[in-house]
Amino acid sequence: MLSNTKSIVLIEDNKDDIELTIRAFRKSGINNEIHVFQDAEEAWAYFLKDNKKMKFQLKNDPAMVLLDLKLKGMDGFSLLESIKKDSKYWYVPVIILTSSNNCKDLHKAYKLGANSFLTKPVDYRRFIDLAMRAGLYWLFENETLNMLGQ
Amino acid sequence: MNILIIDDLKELVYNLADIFNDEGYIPYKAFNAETAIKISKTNKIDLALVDIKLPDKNGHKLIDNIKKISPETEFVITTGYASMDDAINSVREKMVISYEVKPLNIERLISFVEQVWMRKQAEKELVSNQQELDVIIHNAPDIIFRMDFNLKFIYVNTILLEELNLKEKEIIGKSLDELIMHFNYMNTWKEKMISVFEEEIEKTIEFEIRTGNNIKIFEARITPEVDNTGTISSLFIYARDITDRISTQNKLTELTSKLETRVAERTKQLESANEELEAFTYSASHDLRAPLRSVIGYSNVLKEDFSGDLREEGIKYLEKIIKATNRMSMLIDDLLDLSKITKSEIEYEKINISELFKNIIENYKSENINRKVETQVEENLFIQADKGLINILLDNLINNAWKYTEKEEITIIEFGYRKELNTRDIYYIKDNGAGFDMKYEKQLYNPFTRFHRAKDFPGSGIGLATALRIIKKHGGDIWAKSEIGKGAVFYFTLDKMGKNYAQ
Repeated sequence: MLSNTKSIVLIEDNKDDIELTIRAFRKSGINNEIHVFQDAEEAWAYFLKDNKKMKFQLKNDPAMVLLDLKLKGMDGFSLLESIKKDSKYWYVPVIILTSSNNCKDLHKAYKLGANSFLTKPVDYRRFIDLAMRAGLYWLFENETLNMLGQ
Repeated sequence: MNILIIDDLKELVYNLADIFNDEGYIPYKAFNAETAIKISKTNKIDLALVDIKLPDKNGHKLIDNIKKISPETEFVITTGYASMDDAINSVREKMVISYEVKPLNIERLISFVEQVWMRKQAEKELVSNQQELDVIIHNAPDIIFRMDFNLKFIYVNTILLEELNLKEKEIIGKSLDELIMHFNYMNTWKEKMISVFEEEIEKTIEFEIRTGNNIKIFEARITPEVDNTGTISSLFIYARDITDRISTQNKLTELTSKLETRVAERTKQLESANEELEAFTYSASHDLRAPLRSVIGYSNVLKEDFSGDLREEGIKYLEKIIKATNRMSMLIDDLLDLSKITKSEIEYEKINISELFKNIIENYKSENINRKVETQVEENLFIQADKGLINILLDNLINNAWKYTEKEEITIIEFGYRKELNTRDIYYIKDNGAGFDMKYEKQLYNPFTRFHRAKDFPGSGIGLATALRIIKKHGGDIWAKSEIGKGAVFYFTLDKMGKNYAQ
């Protein structure tokens, strides 16, 4: 079992995908805290610490924000842009996790400052494998800035 | 030439008449003024020899009389010394062309008459030429007219009269302003003419003549005419009816614009069809994949965590679900790749296709280390093509060969090249696999077409359709030769002209 104080933020509107993604992390032995948001506005409120809307308490630094692009309401691109333009959160690694590997989406996401772009594999084993490798890299290998505590 | 001899000396008249007759002229004889007047009334006299002293009239008076009757007649005075001064004055006043002093020098007279005859002939010729020219100008199919410095008509041909429906006297001497009812855009027309006078250069203009509701368009060339003092005193205008040409041009323009509109419409339709296709691709990639991922995901969860709760048969069915969904996932991925190839733009670069082939084969070998594989590759073949697409092309063809040689003891895959007589470069991938019946060759390139049961050889059937699209994008061809159980050869070219072979 691997664990440290870094947390994962998952923004995904498909409940099955949420469940399977969490399962994939857990099956790979990654037991870090995972905050799940089903829409981008709710996630942004979390970042802004908007107490009225906040459901979760920010206990640990998010070391990876897993962001789906196609969301109801505010879409993934808008949230990505908001995070990357924010004076406080711009450094937080945002990993796009989406079903399509559409060229335009890739281009747009990187232009807006995405740190990584992953396509959800349909194949279950490959999905678990991807979750494990991405998790290990961003949570345990990658050096993150920590400015939230200051 | 008719010559009238007037003298009261009858003998002289007869003698001269004989002489003129011998010279080929027609002589008329008069011994007094009265007879002379009579003759000139009934005959066309070209030249008259007039004795200044006639019994019934002074020669000068007679000349006046005859001139009134026949202005064309020319006169020579015959005179004695006494009235020579009068005669000289008459020549000066251009009443007569010459005078002869009596007694007459016949040789001189004959030579003079001959000169007159020759001049008359030349004048006649000139007139006849002028008339001929007139006939030509009046029968010309185009408008011809001349205008003076005040923009008044000084000459018009029949066509212009017909076009304006006017008689010659209704237009000659009239200015453009007086004929304004016949022309459209008169001011432009006038400005142009004035500018020809000022700039002294030939110009062209289009003008319109209207008769009733009918409008005809003419293309005119205005040429300045220089008179004998060297100044431009008139204009020569030559105009051609271009109404039909203009209307044809207009129709053509109209048709062209209609055609352009239609092309634009079609292009728009095509673009929107393409957009729809792209939208479909996107939704296929996102919307179809998401539920499929759930099915696959939960099937695996079921298998991993709840196998114990299922009977053996249940687990078997679960395996079938997982297998089928995996296949569906592969189909979706392949379809997406195919549509991506259709959309992508080609970027040409120099590629060592032999190396590309070897890399792919090595990948296949390393993933299937148990298979016995022999490969033959013609080294260092260079092409100009899109590297990404050629990689997909070779991968699909190798995948095809790889799949259908699976059941062979030793797999043999060959990559080669040959030059055809018409200089087309042909590349081929040959295998020793299951092969296919040549009657199905055309269907090979349709997506989802498979000739072997999926159980025997896995695959989506999209690989060759993808290969065909890549080849077509490069302007090439693909075809195959095979026989059941005897392997298959896939040939392809990359450019119709075969100019892809660059060393």
